[in-house]
Amino acid sequence: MIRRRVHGGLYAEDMERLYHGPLPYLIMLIGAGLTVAILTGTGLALSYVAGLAPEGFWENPWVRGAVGAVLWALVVAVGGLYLTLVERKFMARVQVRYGPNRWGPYGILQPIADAIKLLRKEDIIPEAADPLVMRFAPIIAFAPSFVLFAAVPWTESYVASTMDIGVLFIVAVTALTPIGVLMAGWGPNNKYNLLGAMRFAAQELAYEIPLVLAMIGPIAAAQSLNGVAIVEAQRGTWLGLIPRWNIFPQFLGAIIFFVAFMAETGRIPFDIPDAEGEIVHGFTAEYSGMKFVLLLLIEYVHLIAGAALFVVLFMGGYLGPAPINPFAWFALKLLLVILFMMLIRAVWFRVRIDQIMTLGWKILLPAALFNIGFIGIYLAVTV
Amino acid sequence: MNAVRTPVIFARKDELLEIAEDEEKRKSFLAKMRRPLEYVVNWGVKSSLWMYAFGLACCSIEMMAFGAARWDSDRYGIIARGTPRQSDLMIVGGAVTYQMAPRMKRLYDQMAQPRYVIAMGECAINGGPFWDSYSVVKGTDKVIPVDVVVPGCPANPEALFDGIIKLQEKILKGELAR
Amino acid sequence: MNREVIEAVKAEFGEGIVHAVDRRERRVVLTVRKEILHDLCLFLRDRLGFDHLTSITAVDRSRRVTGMRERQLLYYNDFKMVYHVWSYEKKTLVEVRTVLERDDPVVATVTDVWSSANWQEREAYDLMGIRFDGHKDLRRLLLPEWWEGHPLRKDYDLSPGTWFLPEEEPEEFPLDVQKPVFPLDLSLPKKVKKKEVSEMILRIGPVHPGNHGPWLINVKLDGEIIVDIDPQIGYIHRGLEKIAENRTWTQYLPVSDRYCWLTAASNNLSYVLAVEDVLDVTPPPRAQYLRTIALELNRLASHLLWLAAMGIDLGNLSGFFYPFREREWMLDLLEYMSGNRLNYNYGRFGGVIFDVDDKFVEKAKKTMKIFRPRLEEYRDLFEGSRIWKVRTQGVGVISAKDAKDLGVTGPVLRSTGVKADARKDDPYAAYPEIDFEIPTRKEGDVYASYEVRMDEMRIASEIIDQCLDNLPKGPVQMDLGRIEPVGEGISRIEEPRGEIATYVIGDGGDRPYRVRVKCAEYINVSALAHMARGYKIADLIAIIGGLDPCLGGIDR
Ligand code: SF4
Repeated sequence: MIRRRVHGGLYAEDMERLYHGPLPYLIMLIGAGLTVAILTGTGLALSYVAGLAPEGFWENPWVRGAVGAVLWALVVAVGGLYLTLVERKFMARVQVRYGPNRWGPYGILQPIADAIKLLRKEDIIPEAADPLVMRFAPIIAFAPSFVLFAAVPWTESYVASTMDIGVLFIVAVTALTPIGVLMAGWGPNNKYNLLGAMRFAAQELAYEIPLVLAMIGPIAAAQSLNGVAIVEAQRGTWLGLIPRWNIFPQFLGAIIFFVAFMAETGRIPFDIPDAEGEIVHGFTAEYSGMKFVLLLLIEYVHLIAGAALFVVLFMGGYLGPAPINPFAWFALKLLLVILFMMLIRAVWFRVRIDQIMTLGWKILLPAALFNIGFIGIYLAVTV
Repeated sequence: MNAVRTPVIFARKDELLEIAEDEEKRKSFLAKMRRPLEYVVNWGVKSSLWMYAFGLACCSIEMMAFGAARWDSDRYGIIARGTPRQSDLMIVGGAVTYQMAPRMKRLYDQMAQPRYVIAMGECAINGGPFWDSYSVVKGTDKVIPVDVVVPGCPANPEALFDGIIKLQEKILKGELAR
Repeated sequence: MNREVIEAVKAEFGEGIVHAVDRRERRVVLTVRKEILHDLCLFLRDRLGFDHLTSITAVDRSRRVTGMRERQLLYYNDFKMVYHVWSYEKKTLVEVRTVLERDDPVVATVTDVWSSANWQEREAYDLMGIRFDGHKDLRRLLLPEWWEGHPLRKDYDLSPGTWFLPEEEPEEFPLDVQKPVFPLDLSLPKKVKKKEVSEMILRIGPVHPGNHGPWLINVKLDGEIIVDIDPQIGYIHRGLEKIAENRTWTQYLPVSDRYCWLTAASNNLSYVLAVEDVLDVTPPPRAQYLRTIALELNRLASHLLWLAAMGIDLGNLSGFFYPFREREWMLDLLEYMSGNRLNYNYGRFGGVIFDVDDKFVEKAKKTMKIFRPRLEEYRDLFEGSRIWKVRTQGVGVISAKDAKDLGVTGPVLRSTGVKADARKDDPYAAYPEIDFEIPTRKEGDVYASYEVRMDEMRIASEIIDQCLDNLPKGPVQMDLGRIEPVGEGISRIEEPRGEIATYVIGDGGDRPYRVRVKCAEYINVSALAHMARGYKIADLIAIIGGLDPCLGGIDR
C-alpha cells in the first residue's frame, strides 16, 4: 500500500466548514460598511470644500458644469474600475471561492493592476478593419453613458445640471449608445463583433420603450421631470413608518423599470450581446487595450447610471433619516441595487435572443401600458 | 503518480544567447537602478494576467479546475477571456497536432503585446505520451515561443500556480514588458 | 440465443457463411464472404433485430514492421473488416468478419443499414485506405486533406524523419479548412421548410468557448435556423491506435486512459477487459468491486463536469463553480485510490493496481452522505430557474428510432425511453451483484438527458455505497506473469457518455497487433446534424452541451 497525499487534507467535511462559516459574510458586511463610510466622508469633505467658495459661485452654470464634469470623470472611471472588483469579490463569495486577494489586502490593488496592464497593452487595428470607424467607435459609444450623469441628483445640491427635463435627458442620451456600438461592430470587420452589435442594438431598442413608460409613474406622481422634484415628492412617511417611496404604490412599474434597465446594461440574464459561449464577447471581441476598456466601461457605467435612476425614481433618492448624510443614503441605496443585480447575474441563466424580444415586446410593453392606467387611477384617487 | 513538479524558467529560443551575453551587464544595471516606472508597469502586467485557455486535451480539464472553486485563479487576478485580443497569457494544455499547429500560431499572432505562453503538461512540452505519434507536434516551442513549461501528466493546478508564479517573477525581473 | 442467431443466418445464407462460432455467452462470431456482407447486415437488422452498430474495424493483416517475437502464422497480406453489431432486445453481440484483397480493398457500405456507419467508414477510409462502395461522402475524417498515406497500414513509414516538424517557419503549414460538404441527407428534416432558402455558412471553431474542445462545426443557416451541419474533427487526433502497435501490452495501459480524459477509468477498464477477454481470465472479487467503485466515482466526476459546462454555456456562472466543488471530492477519492487526479491508470490485467484501506472506505462513505443532499441543491439551482427549462425543454429532440439508427448511446439514448445500459445488459466488473435501476425519460430533449444524468448521479452514489458495504476481502491482482495474448477480444462497457467498445488482436508478440476503440461521444456527436436541424443557432450550444462531447474520445 502506497501512502498517497491528499491536497492539504481537505475533505468533504473540512470544505463544509470552510464554505459555510459565518466569517466571510461578516467580512463582507464590514466591507460594505467601510464603503459607505468612505463615501460619506467624501461627501462631507466635498460639502466643506464647496462651502469655502464665495457666495453665488456655485450658482454659475458654467462652474457647475466644469467642476461636475471633472469630478464625475474621476468618480465614474474609478467607480467603474472598482465596481469590477466589487463584482468579482461578490460573485466569488456567491460561488464558494475568494476572488482577488493577492494584490493588496482583499485585492484592492487588483483594478489598478488591471488598469496599468490594459494601458500597456498593444492596441491592434487589424489589416482588414476600417481604421477610422474602429478608432472612434469606443469614444462615441462611451461618451453618452458618461454625459447622462449630468442630470442625476446625488443630493439636493449636487446636481451637475439642474435641468427641468432631467429624466428625459437621461433617456435621450442613453439612446445614443447603440450608434457607437454599431460602429464598434462594423469597424473591425469581424463577424462576432457585428453579431454582438446587432444584438445590442435590437435589445436596446426593444427595452427603451418599456423603460420610458415605466418612468411615467414617478413623473406623474411628482408632476415634474426634474430629478430633485421627483425625489422631493417622495418625502414623508405613511403611518410614520413606511417611507413614501414610489416603489410601494408603483411596484409593477418598479419591476418593469428594473428589468428594462437590466436588459439595457446587457448583463445576465440579458447578456446576449456579450454571450461568451455563443459569440465570444460580441462587439468587444476584436478590441484590445484602452479601446476595450472604454467598451467594457459602458456596461459598468450603464449599471451605475441605471441603478442611480432607479434609486431616484423609486427609492426616494437621497432621502433618509437625519443622522446619516444624504449622500451616504444615496450611496447605500445605490450599492444595494447594484449588489442585487450582481446576485442575479451570479445565479441566472442566459435567455435566448428571441425570448428576450418576446419578453420586451409582448409582456413588458403591455404591462407598462397597463401600469400607466393603474397609476393614473391611483393618483386620481389619492391626490 | 504525482510527478515532481518544478517548473523551470525557459527563455525564448532567440533570446537565449543574447541573455547569456548580456547577463553581467544587465545584472549590474538592474541592481543599480530599477526605474520605478518599469517596476510599476511590470507589476501591473504580472498582476493581471488574463488567460486565453488554449485547452486541447486532459490538461484543459485541470485548467478548468485551476479556475474553479478549490484553486480559484481569480485570487491572482487571472481570469479567462474568450478572445485572444484581450488576453496576455496563453496556456497550451494538451497535444498540439499538425492540423492544430497553424491555428495555434495564428491565435498567438492575434494576441496583443505583451503576451506570454505557458506550455502545460508533457504533451505541450515535447509530445509526452504521444512522442511517437504520426500526427503530434513534438512540443509547443516548435511553433510559438514558450516562456514557462509546467511538467506533469496532467499538470496539477498547484503545478500550474507554480508555473504562474515563476512567470510573474520572470516578468517582474525582466525589462519593461512589451 | 447464440444458437438461434447462427441457425437463422445459416438457413438464410448457406454457402455465404464461412464460419459461425458460438464464442461465449452473448458473443457470436460470423466469418462471411464479402459479397453477402450487405445482405447479411440487412438481414441482421430487419429480421433478427440487431439495431445497434457498435463498431467497424479495419485490420491490416500483413506483417508488421515493428514489434518483436512475431508469429508468422497470422499474416495474410490482406485486409479484414470486422463489424460488431449489438441487439438491444436479444442482448447479444455479433461479430461479422470479412476479408478484402490487398490491392483493391473495396467493400459495400452499410450506411444505408445503420446511419452510424457513416463516420466509422470514413475513418476506415482515412486511416486504412479501405473504400466503401456506395458511401455518399467518402472524405478523410481525422486527418487533414493534405495528409499522404494511410497511417494504420502496417507499412506506413514512421521513421523519425517523418515525425518531427520540418525546420521551416510554421507558416508553411497549409491552413487547410475542408470545404464543408452537406451531401448526406438523412432524410429526416424536421422544421426546415422546403422553399428557396438564402443560405449562409457559419464556421464555429475550431477554438470556441462553446465547443467543449477543438473541433470545427460548419453550420448552414437559413437566417437563424439551422439547415445542416457538417462537423470537422481531428484537431487533436493523436493516432492512439497506431501508438498501441508500438507499445507493449502493459505500456499501452496509461495511454488508454487518454482517449477521453473525463472517463479515464472506463477507457482503461475497457482495454483491460478486452485483453482479459483474449486471455480468458477473471480477476478476484475484491478487484471487481474496486473497479466498480472507480468507475462510478469517475461517472460522478464526469457528470458533474458536464453539469458545470452546461451551466457556463447557458450563462449561469455559479452553475460552473458548484459542481466543481463536489467534483474535487470525487477526484480526491480517486487520487487516494490510484494516485492521479485525472488519468488514473488503475486497471491491470487480472485486477487493479492498488488496494484501498479502511480510511478510504470511511472517507468515501462520508462523502457520499454529504453528496446526495447536494444534488438537490443543483436541482434548485438549475430546475428552479424558469430560464433553464425554457432553454432546454423541447430543444434537440430525437426519437428512439432515430437514436438507435444513428447509434446514439448513453444518457441521450436513455432520455428517449430506451432502457439500454451495458451495466445491466452485458454485465462486467461487480455489476451483476449490485442492485440498481436504470433511469429513463421519454421526451428525448436536452432537459430529459439532464434529468437522466441527475438520476444517474444519485444511483452512482448508491452503487458506491453498496460496493463499500460489501467489499470482499482478498487479493486485488492476479499474477499473470508476462502476457503475450493470441487471438481477438472485445469488450463493451458503459462509460458516462454511453458505450465504449475496445477490440484487440494479439499475434502472440509482446505488443498488440491491432487495437480499435470506439468511444461513445464519437458516434453521439455524429448525430449532431440530425438533432440540431431546424433549431435556432443559439440552441446549438445547448444541444452540444446535452451531447456532452469530449474531443479526446472523438479524435483519439
Ligand atoms: S500531458 Fe498528459 S494529461 Fe496533459 S494533455 Fe498530455 S496526455 Fe493529457
